[in-house]
Amino acid sequence: MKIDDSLSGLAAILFGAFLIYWSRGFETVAHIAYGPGFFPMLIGAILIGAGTILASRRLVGWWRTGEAPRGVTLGEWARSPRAIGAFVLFLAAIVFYILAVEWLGFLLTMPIILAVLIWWLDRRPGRAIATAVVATLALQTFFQGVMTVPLPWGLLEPWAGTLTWM
Amino acid sequence: MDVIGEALLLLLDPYVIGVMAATAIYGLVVGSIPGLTASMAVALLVPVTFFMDPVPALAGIVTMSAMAIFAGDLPGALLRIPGTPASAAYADEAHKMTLAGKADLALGVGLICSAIGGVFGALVLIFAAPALAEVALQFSTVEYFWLACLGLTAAVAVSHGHWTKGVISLMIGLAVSTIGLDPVSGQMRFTFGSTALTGGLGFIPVLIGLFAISEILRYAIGSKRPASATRPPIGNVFAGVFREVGRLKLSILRGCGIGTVIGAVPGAGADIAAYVSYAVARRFSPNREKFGTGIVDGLAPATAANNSSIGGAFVPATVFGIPGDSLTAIVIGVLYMKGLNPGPTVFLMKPELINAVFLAYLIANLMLVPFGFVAIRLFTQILRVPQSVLMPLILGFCIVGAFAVENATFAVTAMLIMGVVGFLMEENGFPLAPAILGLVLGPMVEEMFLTSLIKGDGNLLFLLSRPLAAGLAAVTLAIWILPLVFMLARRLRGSAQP
Repeated sequence: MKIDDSLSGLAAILFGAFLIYWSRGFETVAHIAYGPGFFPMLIGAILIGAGTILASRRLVGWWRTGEAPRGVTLGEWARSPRAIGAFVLFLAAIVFYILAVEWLGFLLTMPIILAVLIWWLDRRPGRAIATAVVATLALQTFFQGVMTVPLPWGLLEPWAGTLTWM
Repeated sequence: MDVIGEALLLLLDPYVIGVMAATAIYGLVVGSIPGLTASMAVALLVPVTFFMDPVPALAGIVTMSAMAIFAGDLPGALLRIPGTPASAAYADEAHKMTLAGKADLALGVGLICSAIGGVFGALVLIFAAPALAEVALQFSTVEYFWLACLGLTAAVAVSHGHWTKGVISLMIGLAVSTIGLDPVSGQMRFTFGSTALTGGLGFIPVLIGLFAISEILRYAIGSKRPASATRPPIGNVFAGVFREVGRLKLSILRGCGIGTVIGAVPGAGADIAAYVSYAVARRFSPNREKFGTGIVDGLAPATAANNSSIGGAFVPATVFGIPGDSLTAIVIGVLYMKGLNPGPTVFLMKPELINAVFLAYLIANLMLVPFGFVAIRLFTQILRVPQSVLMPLILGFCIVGAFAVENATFAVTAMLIMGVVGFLMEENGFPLAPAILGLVLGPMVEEMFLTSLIKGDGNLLFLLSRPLAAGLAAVTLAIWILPLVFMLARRLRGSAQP
C-alpha cells in the first residue's frame, strides 16, 4: 500500500500540529520555563518541519518531471481477491479476538480465528481445524499452565477448574 | 576474575543451559525462514522471557540473536533469499557458490566465520564494556542527555532512504514514548482519560506490532513468497573450510573489527556491518575482479562482520543504555524489565549478572558450530513447514504474547495499531529502527533534559557546562550540520563550473 510522499508529509504535519495543540495545556515544572509539554511540542515542531520537507520535495519533483502525486496506490496484490482476503482476515482476526475474547474465552476464540485464517491460506479445512485446535491447546498449556498467565475463560468459566486439570 | 567465575557459575545451571539450547534451536529455525527477521524472533521471545529470572531470560535472548543472524545465511546461500536482512549483503555471492556446486564450502565458511566473528565481538564486549563503564561513572545528566541525542541522531543518519523519513520514524517512536505518566512531573499526557494508557503503550505490544504484525501483513499481501526448497548436494561442510579461513585470516579479522565498531554505532546494525565489510574486503582483495561471481573472499569477512556487530552493539547498550540497533533496543527493554537498568552502575552493583549475560553470548557463539552444523543438515526440513500454516500460528502467538505481559486485552489493541503503523511505514520506505530507538530512548532524553535544567535553574547553557558534554554536543551538532554544509558546497561547486 504505497502512500504518496506528499500525503505522508501532510500526515506528519497534521500529527505534529495535533501534538503541539494537545501539549499547550501542560503545566511547567516549578521555577523553570519547561515542563511535560516541552518535549511533545518539540516532537510536533520537528514532525511539521520534516513533513513539510518531505511533501515539498515530492511537489518539486512533480513540477520538474511532471509526475503528479498518486495518492494511495494499492499495488499488484489488490487484484488478487485471495491476497485482499488474507490481508483483511488477518486484521479482522485481531479485532475479533479483542471484541470476543472476554465473552467467548480464549479456548473458543483462538481456534476460530486460527481455523479461518489457515483455511483461507491453505484451503484444507481438515488440516486447518486440527492445527487450530492443537495450537490453541499448546498456547493455553504454555501460557496458562507454565507461565501462569490468566487467559480469559469466558463462556467456559463454569468448567475452568476441570479444564485446568485436563 | 572472581566475577567471571561467579558469572560462569550462574550459567552452569541446568535450567539456564536448557533455556539456551531451546532458544538456540528457536533462533536457528526462525532465522532460516525467509521473511522472519531476527528482530521479530526476539520480539516474540520477550513475552516468554518475561516470566523467567534475569540470567536465563537474557542468556536466552543473546543466544537466540547469535543463532538467528547465522541462520539467515542458509536460505541466502541455498535459495538466494536472505533469511534476515543481515545476510542480504552476500546472499548473491553465496548462492553463486551453490550454483557452482560449492554449497558445502559456502555454508562451512559461513558457519566458521560467523562463530569467529561472534567470539571476537563477545571478547571485545567482555573486556571493553567494564573499562568503558569506569569512564561512564563520571557522567552526569548532561552527558547522558547528549549521548542519547547522539544515539538518536546516528539512528537517523545511518537509516536507509531519505533522511526526512528517518526523522519522522524517530519522532513517531518518541511521540509514542510520551504517552502516559510524565517521568519528571508525574502529569498525565495523551491518555485521553483512559486508565489503560496511564503506564503508556506497553513496550512489548508495540514491539510485537512493529516487527511481527507488520511482517504478517506483508506476507498476507504476497510481497514475500518463499521459493520452493531445493536440495543442493551438501557433502562435508568442513572440507577445505579451514584452509580458506587461514588464507583469508587478515580479511576476516578486518571484518570482525569493522563489524564490532559499526555494531557499536547507534542505529547501524548487522546488515550495515555486512555491507560495509563486503565493500572493504572487495577494495583490498587481490581477487577483486572475481567478487560477485561466487568466491569466499567477500563472503567470509561479511558473515564474520554481521555476527561481531551484535557484540559491538551490546557495548553502548549495557554501558550507557543506548541501543546499537533495533535488536539491542529490545534487549535494553528486557534489561529494564529485569531490574538490571543498563548504565555503568550495573557493573558495580550486579557485575556477576551482567558478566553472565556477556559470557552467555560468548558461549552461544561457540555453540553456534555444532548447532549450526545440525541446522545446515536439517535446513530443507525447516523450510517444509508451509507459511500458510505458520503465519496464522505466529499471529496467535503474537496475540497471546502481547496479552501475557500486560494481562489486558488493551495490549492486543496497542499491538494491532502499531502493527498497521509499522506495515504502512515499511511499505513506504520509513525505516523502523529509528522508531524503536526513539521509543526506548525517549523517556531518557526527556528525563535527562528536564533534570539538567532543574539543576541549572532553567538555563539552557547548563547543558554545555561540562567539557565532555560540550564535546558530545559538538559531535551531535556536527552530524546534523555537516551534511548540509557538504550539500551546499557541492551545489556551489556545481554552479561555479560551466
